[in-house]
Amino acid sequence: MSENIKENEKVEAVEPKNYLNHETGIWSWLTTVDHKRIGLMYLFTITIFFFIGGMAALLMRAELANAGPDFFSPDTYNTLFTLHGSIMIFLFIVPGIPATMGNFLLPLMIGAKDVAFPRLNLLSYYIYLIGALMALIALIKPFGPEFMQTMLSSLGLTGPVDTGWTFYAPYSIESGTAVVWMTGAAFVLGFSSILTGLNFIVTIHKLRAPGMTWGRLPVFVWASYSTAVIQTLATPVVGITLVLLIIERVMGIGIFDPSMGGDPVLYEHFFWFYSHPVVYIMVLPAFGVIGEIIPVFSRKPIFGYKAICYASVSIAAFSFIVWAHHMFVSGISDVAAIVFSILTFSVAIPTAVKVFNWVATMYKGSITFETPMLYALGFIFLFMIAGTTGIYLATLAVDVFYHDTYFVVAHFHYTIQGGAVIGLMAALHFWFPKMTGKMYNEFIGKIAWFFVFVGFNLTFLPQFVLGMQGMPRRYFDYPIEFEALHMASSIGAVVNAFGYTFALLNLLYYFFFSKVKAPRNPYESLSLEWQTQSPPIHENFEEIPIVTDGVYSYGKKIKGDH
Amino acid sequence: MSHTEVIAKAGEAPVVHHMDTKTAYDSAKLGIWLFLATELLLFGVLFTAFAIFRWMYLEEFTYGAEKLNWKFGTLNTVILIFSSFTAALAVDAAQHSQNKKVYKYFFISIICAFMFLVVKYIEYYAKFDHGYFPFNIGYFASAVFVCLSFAIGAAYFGASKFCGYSRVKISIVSIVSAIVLGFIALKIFYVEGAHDVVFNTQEFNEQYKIFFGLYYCMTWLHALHVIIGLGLLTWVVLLAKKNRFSDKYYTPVEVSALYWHLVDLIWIYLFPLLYLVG
Amino acid sequence: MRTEQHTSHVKTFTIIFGLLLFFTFITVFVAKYIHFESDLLTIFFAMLIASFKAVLVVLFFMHLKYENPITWLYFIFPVVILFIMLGGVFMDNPYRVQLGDDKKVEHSKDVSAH
Repeated sequence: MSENIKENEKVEAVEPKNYLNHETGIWSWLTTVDHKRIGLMYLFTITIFFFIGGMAALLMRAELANAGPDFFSPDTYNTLFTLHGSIMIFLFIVPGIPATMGNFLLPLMIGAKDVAFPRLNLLSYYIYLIGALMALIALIKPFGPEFMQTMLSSLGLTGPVDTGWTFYAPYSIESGTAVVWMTGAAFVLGFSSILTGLNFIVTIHKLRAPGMTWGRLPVFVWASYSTAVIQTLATPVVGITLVLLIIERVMGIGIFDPSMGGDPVLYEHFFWFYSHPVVYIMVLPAFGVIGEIIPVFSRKPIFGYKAICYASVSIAAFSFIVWAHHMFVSGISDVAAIVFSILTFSVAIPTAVKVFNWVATMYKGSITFETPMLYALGFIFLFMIAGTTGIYLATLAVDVFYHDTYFVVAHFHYTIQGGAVIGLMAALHFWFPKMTGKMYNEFIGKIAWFFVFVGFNLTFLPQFVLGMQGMPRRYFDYPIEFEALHMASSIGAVVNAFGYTFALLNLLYYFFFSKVKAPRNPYESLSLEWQTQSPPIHENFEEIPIVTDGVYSYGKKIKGDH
Repeated sequence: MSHTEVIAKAGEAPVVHHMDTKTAYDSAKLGIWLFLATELLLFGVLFTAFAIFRWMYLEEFTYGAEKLNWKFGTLNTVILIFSSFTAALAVDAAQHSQNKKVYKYFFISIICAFMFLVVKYIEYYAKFDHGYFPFNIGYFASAVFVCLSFAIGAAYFGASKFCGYSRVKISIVSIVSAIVLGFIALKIFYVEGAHDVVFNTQEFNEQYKIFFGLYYCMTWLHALHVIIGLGLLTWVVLLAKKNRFSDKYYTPVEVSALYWHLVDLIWIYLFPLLYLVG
Repeated sequence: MRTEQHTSHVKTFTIIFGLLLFFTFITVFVAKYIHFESDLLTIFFAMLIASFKAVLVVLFFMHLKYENPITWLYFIFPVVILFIMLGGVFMDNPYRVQLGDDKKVEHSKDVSAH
């Protein structure tokens, strides 16, 4: 199927009009309201932050490779893990697939010309940039001559934050670092998320092409819809929580400060009320991506389409009722702990339904192993580990031991990186020909995948064991008996980083320098976005299509479109 | 770049390149309702915090509430309900192409909004005098005025896009009013003694800070939304003056009125909770 | 856009406005002159009356009565979420076990009571 390279003709001197050459010049990009261009801009920006956050991780792992202090002071280490968490979460994976692939694909998949509010879409991107800028500014430590140091300090720029990305009270109230700037950045970024979510909900409700009923939507659209609901409704909660934290820090009203009768656990309630649903913002779109890739590379309709759609929506709904499982050892009541533990078990069910359906899709299919499929298969393997270790953590008695150990660190890296980031990589490779009109190098793609997969497991599998042995998280140093596993983990981190770099260089190189035009639909997918030219024209479709069938009819018709 | 660069004719919906008029209207409606949902959750957190702390410190909260001026609170409630009423009437007028009435009713709502802010300010100032104010009133006053200038400036800018208000004139008016209001803000910020406010610790222990802190947070956030609403109302009033609306196009009126109703809705819950029940 | 003739709602709005003023009066009257046995009842009635007013504003002024089910969903679902938030927090704080809880401790100005 992928051996039709002989069909590609070299690009002539005059390229057909598409969204990339529709208008040229940097101003046309900065003022664009084209969802495809906005998606690309998000993609480039979040990739930059992925590498910055990744650098922080590599520095941490360099420190942790050997027992004993090596390169950093404990305070610097605290700053590193705070930065790693904040950047990776707020600046990379929360915008993640929705802002990049969602922006690009949603209107195409539903047969629309753009999202419901294109200018709001651009505003979302600029709000994101402002938040990102604030986060970078928060890194500034007072330096230089005396007057400059005083000025920076009075502006609140007192050094990079060391509270952890969770900004727990009361330390975040007392910390001498630039907490206000960092939480302010997260607050601003939250608005970007809210507006994107709002935009997507309205788009999917109102802009579907004639005949594109809810029951014919690709699962990626269902997943994006569920994600958008969470984005819109959960994010305001963290917004106001961070504002309250800032007010508490600046004006000392006492709501989170135990010395004044306040309740720091209340901060945790509000914080996790958002931060649990946010992990579903990260991973639900990845579920959608996998749901698009597996049928295509198995040449089989997706198994249990309705169940997958209902599962997406119920995951979104369930995500709001389990937040306190992050607080089992924070001092909440037994009643609350038991209730939330039971509820957390139940949220695994719709996810399991999805995994079962993906595997059932592959059963008796005609499977090929191109790079997107490799990432998709990797996703299933890694997310299974993530999900089952989550059950361990949901079990109250077990969590008392595992909380704040490396077990938790490994669990959430398996879900976020093994889930959402792998999903993003799968999406990038799968839709690369659609977005760019070119093709990446398949062989390099596979090699890079191998390094990512091996590196990731080498980094985080040992961390499960470390956690079980009692190694606490966010610790700058540890007893000598943990050293072997830490060293393995650090080596894995390097391999992992190499894999991602290699993969992204592959994509970037062929995007900018390849002269070979990819076929319009190299994977022979049946969904709407593949029926337009690659890259799509500015308006997406010459005429709005009329949809007469669902998009998973693989094996029913033979589409000989090579 | 912008697909609405065409200045739409009075009474007609702007042309949008990817939606027909009805879809654009339906999308705007769903969009604003979703936005109101986010506002509900925003305030909901504060209500939850208030609820749990009231449960914890019942005496401080009930005693503290007696220090609040319920008469001013009632007055503000009536003002907001009335402004909500006129906003609804304005939407009705817009649906019948009566631009002059839209102008009249929204203008009344704007006046009500200003009255609300004035009453609020009087309340805050009185408390500052008694030392119930745990922090510098100058911050609040400045913030209010800065936000006001932004709101009004944005309103003018928004209006100018469609109805040919001169962009240059509008920019000058906005910048000048921002400077004037900012100046007033700074003046208040440095009002004598503002920096020396000390919480009245003879009468109140630390837990009262939680009550008053939440009171100020909730009412200040609400006041901020009043100001944003003011901006929206001003925008519509400017458009109505140029007969922008008709029974075929009145989306901004409806969107702004919905936002304004939300402001009223939040106050309907804030008032009894803070002032009456404590 | 609707091309059919819009009906006029002025009369409805005026009636609703009157009702809202009435309920505001009731709110203040009940708060100032009626004393309930328990604090919980006070809160309950205050919120009940406020909810009457809120329902009037939402259904009529905001026109929700005539809107489609999706709009209803996105108004009701956030309210449900808020109740979940309240529920979660109130499942926690009131049931926490503190040192010395076996001695009867009453609400007081004393910080260490909780």
